[in-house]
Amino acid sequence: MSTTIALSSTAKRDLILIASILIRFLLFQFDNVTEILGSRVEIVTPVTSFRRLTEGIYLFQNGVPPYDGGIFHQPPLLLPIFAYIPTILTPILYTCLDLVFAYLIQEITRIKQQLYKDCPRSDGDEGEIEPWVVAGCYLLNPLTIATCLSKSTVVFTNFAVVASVYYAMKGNRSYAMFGIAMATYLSLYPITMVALIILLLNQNMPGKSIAVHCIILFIGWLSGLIGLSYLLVGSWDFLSATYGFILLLSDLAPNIGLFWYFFIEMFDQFRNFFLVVFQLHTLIFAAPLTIKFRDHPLFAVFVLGGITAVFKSYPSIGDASLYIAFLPIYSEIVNYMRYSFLITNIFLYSSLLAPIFYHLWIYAGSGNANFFYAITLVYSIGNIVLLVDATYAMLRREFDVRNPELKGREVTQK
Amino acid sequence: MSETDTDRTRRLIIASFWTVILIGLPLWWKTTDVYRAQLPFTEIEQWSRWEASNLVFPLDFTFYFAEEDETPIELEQLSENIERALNEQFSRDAEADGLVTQLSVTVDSVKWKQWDKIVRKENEIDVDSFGNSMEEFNGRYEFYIAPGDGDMRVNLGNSRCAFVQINRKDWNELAITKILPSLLFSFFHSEYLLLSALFKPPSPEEKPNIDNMRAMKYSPRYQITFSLMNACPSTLLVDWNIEEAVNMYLKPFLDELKILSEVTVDSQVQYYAQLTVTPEKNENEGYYYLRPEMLPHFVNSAEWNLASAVSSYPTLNLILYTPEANQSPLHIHNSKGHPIDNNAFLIPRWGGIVISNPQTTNNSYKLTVEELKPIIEIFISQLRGLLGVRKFTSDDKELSAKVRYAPPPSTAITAWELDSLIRHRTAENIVAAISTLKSLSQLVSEIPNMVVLDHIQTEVLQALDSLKESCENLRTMSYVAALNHAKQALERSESAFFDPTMVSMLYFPDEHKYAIYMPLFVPVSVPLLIALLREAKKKK
Amino acid sequence: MWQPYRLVYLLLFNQILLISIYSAKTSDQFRENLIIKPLPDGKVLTHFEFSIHSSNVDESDYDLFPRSIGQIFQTYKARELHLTFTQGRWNYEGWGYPIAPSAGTGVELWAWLWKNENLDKNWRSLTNALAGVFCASLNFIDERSTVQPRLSFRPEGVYIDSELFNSAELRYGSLPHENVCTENLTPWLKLLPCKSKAGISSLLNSHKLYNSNFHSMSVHVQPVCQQKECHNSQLEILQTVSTVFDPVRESGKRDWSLYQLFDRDITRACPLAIESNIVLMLPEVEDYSIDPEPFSIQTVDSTKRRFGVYDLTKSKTNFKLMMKWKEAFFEYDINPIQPDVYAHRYFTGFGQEHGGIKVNLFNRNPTNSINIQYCDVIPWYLRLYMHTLKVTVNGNEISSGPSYPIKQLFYQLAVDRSRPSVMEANISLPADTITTLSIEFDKAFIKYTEHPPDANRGFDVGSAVITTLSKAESKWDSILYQQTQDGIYTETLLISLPTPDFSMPYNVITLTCTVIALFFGSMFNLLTRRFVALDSENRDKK
Repeated sequence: MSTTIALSSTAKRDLILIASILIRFLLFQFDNVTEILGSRVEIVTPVTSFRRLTEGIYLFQNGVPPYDGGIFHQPPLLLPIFAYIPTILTPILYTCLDLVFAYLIQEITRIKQQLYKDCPRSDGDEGEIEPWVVAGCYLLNPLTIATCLSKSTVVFTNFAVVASVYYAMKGNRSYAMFGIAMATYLSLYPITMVALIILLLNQNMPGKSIAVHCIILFIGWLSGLIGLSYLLVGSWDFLSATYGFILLLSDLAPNIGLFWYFFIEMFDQFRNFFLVVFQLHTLIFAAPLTIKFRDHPLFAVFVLGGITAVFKSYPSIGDASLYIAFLPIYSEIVNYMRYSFLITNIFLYSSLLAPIFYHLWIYAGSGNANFFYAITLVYSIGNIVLLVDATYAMLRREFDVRNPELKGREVTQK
Repeated sequence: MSETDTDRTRRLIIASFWTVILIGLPLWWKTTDVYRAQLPFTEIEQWSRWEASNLVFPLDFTFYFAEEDETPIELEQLSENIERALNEQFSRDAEADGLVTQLSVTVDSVKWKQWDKIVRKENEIDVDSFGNSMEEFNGRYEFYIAPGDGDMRVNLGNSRCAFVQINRKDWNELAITKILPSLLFSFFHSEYLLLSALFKPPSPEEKPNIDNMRAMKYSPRYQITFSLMNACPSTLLVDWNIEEAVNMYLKPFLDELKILSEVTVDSQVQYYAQLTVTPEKNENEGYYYLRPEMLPHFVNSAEWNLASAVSSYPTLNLILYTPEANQSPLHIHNSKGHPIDNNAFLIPRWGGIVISNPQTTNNSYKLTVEELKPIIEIFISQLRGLLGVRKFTSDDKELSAKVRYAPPPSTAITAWELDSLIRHRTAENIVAAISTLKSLSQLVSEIPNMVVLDHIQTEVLQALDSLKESCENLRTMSYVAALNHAKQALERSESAFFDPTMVSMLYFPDEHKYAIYMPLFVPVSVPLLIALLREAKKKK
Repeated sequence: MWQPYRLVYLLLFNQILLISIYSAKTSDQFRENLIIKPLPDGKVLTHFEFSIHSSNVDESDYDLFPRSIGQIFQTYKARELHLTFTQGRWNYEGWGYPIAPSAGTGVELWAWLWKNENLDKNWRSLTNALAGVFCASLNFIDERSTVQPRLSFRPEGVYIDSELFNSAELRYGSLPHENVCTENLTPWLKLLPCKSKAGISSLLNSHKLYNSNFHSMSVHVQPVCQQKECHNSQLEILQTVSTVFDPVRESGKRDWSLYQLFDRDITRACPLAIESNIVLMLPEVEDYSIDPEPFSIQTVDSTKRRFGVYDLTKSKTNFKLMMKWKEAFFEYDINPIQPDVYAHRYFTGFGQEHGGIKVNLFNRNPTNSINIQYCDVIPWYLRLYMHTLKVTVNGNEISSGPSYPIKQLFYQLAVDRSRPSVMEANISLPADTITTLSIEFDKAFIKYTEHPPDANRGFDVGSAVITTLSKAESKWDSILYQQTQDGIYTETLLISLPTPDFSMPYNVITLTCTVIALFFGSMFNLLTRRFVALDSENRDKK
């Protein structure tokens, strides 16, 4: 006889909550851990590094313009936040952000499930996922924990995106637009999601001329943020040091993305051209996805988040943790995904091998840059397969829902 | 209806993809193309195919005939006759063909009773006091003709006038119409030959012109460096008062040449400046000498600090060499083995050298301004050769006239010589500017990868404008203005041709471009194009 | 400090001063000196000094003053110019202070240029012109490696105090990787009036000079004053060569002679020099013999050092000099002499990603604290983190307060590929301590084309310069300003940056483009195609 302890769902939820708080709290106590994680190139990039933020604050407080040189590339509004918070409270800040994020995503799941509960279902569906499971997946995701411990500032962007989605689903226009404006101000790439947020707002609280109103709100919030930054720093240097830096790829530090090695090896004459191509590639999917998934804007947020995480100029695993957080919400498509085993393995392998190959290149000197570059390609392919597979699953499920009789094999045609 | 819905969706999606790509295309063009401003190729081509016949070097001669009661000259038809005969003689000359001559003649008569006295004198005639200096400028010459006994004689002054004495038996209109044109022809013929040679491509059988090979290429600025080379200061230390000497003796010459080029002068003293050649000793007379074949190796460029660190203009080096005690006195032998008079020689397109043997038993010696005078005179004559000044003489051996020259002016260059030099340099500059522009246009059209910035285009257009102005000025006989415009044309065309921004991206083979574009764009464009084609087919 | 050596010149100088005041000539004056100093560890320091004073600064008539330098100086509106070529490292702990002011390895060029709108162009042209004159690649000192230090490299000529900093600006550049060889020495020798044919300069034999432990060759051009009232300032060009020879390496004994050191003798005096001396700094212990005996012996009162002076203008025949020590072989002194202030700088950390720089500043004076200016120019590819700057005194970290050694700190941020970072500090070193500054940096990843052909050699980082200021000479009137400063140089450093694989450009392009195309193709198809059931198609086909 085996005795099983059946825990109620609330108990499980609380357990996960406590476990995630404990893990973060414990690991923050070890300075080694935060330092090592805070200097790993897969986790922090020149635009999100906490070490560089500290340097920027130090320069700012000592009267040296922080954007004068090539070291600080983060938006100015982060400077007062960290200048005036005592260092002892930073871990608490990051942990709280994670927890609030988890709460928001839980609420998003709940609202989404409520919205779609009247939609036809396919036979192959699983049961509805519990909202707290989604939150738990996010909190216990090793990518999220690593990002939180490294004190990378990408958590602010992630938080702004998810807050914007939450308020959009709640129908609150100004807060939703503020969220996405904040995310754009911090990272620039979330601007591709503006249309999706407007669609979400429309879905949850339709109104007249919603699009124009929202765009005006967005522009207003964004200009307000930029103006405030100008007042804080006193000059317009920060624009070229932050947005110019992201667009023009001034620093070729390795990261988990595709840009750095390509542009180290690229010939000078074609550099500008390929910069344009790569940045356009990241933007080109915004409109088609919005059009295709206008009935499921939350799914489009997932896919666009994924595209940004793979193809932006300085990606990190924090961007991956953002879009992966939205995946469990669509638990119904899990059965339609074809390559889950492959994807899991790719993520596992690349997470294990990337630090090893980086060490071999930089510290041991017995490998060269190609090792690490290959792993970044593998990681990108893993993400790509995940996105493509999820999209396929979503579309296939839609097809099945509309044509329930055709459950045999199909071919995409035309 | 869901079909049309999905169709519309699909069309929208394809359209949105293509919109972004169409936005990207001009960006591709902008980021990879080479910036090339448009150059006026046809105009340059026109100028380069242009023959000498378009250039004119007009001259105006005024003849003042002495009025004598015994044999008066009929002035009425005389000017046209002389003019016609003159122009005929020039155009008949086959060698100077291609150059249109435009020579105009005016005649006038002057009542000069004093001429009787002057004509009979055999001594110098102060020709320059005849001239009316208010009216003379480059291209306009005055001749004072008077009858006399004996052969025809010509006295050339230093400013633009001359005195011609014709035998009384030729003192009639007919004879004068024959004599004067051939006289003028003999003086100006060589200049016209040289000018037309500039416009013709050099032929291999042609003998090289020594004057051309000696003179420096034209530059709006020159730098003259006077160097005193002390071979061995331990035995003999020589110093000189060069600055005063230059101000006194050389400055007038350089001031006169200011219209042509700016010349800056500096000086230095070099010690332990030794030779690479060893002079030979003449035992009989106890001096050392250098044979002519040793002279090309005289200048020890490695050890003598002759190069200028800051100037990019041509430098003329004038060297005064004092030999060491055990090699002095030092003379230069000519090809026959006799020492030459002034102990100096010239290196074409480089400078000149004078060897000085100071007579002293002391260990040190300072050359005073008076002692430097003859040396500076030698340098000036070398400078005249280096700067292209040609002596104004008659080249007709059979001219049955004696030509005498006024004593040389303190400026060391007469107005005749300066005028001829200005005309020659103007023509030279015009030809050089045109050939530089032609080379530039050839280069730019042959190498498609060469960057041509806006300022090069501006300079080329300005150079062409200056060329036009220069030719216009030549037509109206304003030679100084023509020279300035030709100078500008040359400067601008050279600055455009030698611009450092032109050499940025010269070599990138096309195959490499395929390797760079193909991996991304072929796999990406295939589905895009197929989708577009399918939509287009469906629309039909 | 090396103050006493300057006083030597003033001693000898004064004798000539009397003569020159009464000679009405305004022509150039040439003086040459050779100072020989036996060092405590058996080596011999020979320091050549050639100085030409010229009154006609703006004229175009050059006599003894070299025309190439004079023209460069005037055309590019320089007020003061200092150029040094150095090979080797000066061992402060073994040898004391050098007589030559600059001892940083490689080439160092700094100049004060008159302020006008073409100042940067003038600096660029100046470096190019000097590169041509000295056959050195000085033209690589461009705006990407030129800095303007605020505390160090103060003007050294004689100026009116009020216009000292208002009318001119400083430019400084250095090339630590530059090799110095015969092709730099030859044009340098050609600037001297007697070239290398007569006088002391005939000793300069490049075979022996470049076989030495340390070699430094420099050109300094600055305005000076002859008389106290300074009615018309003169321009001085001072050319120095400092070499450290090691006779013990060859024979085991400290004995040396001019012929043994230079492989040459002085055959004749330079007739153009008004002063031509060999000064031998006599060691304090008396067990040596010199042949010939010095023509005169002088003493500097403040330090009681004795100098033997040989006036070559009085010696008619070949001049030979030799010194013998009364010992069988040389025994090294275990306790090195320790100058008051010196420094060592080195890299810390491992791996190609992070690292740190540490500077140890030593103050060996037992009672006085010494004020120094520290100037360090770090290239842009080492990204410094100023918030990691730590100061420790004798091992104890001090972060703020009255005992904090750094009194003033100037920091110029580096801009990628544009300018280096400059860190300047006014530090007060407490007596008898070792003050350590440490700072961390990240190494940048540079483009494939920015690596030099020998990519694995690494990049050189120039020396840091420590300047101690001496009091102004009280000889002159207060309206005039002349300052002497001692420059103490640390080592140059070599850092290797992470290299990409240089054989891979097309491979990388292909692989990355494949990944992107994979995603684009799949996503595009998913978005634009619709599902059609296979069975229905088969049914249609039938």
